[in-house]
Amino acid sequence: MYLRSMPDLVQAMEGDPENIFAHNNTYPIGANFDEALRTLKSPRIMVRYRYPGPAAAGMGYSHTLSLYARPKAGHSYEDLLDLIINSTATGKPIPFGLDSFNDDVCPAAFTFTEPMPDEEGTEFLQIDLTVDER
Amino acid sequence: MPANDREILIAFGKNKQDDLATANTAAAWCAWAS
Repeated sequence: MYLRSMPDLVQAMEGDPENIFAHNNTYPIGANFDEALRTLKSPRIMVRYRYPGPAAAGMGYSHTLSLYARPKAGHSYEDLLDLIINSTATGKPIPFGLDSFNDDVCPAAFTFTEPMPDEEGTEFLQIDLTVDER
Repeated sequence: MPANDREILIAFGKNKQDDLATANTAAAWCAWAS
């Protein structure tokens, strides 16, 4: 419950925190995600856990999350990215990209891609967040 | 192979126990972020 705790971001999601939601993988994985992404309404932020992997030497696992975001009408992707990166959640002193799950993990990478329409014209901002277990 | 299928192979283990552990991990991380 992080992004939903950012008042400005929720406001940008038409005031409905449920417009920020997790995508749950189900078998066959991939098929339902493709459909969810293709039909992602606006404004929405969909969170997906992508994969665990080995972290840097001496660390535990690495975890990658992706956020797929579509702004509301009149908002730009830059506005949305700014809210996600720079807003702080209620009760949290530091921004999303710098927080950690607990004392045992730390953020390793925070990247985003230029929104580009896919073959079907659906466009979204993708933000990847990787954290490493200590 | 589609990118998502590659992720399946990476994300999910070779047995049901691994799959369950990965699913729990995924749910926990998604809950944290959203």
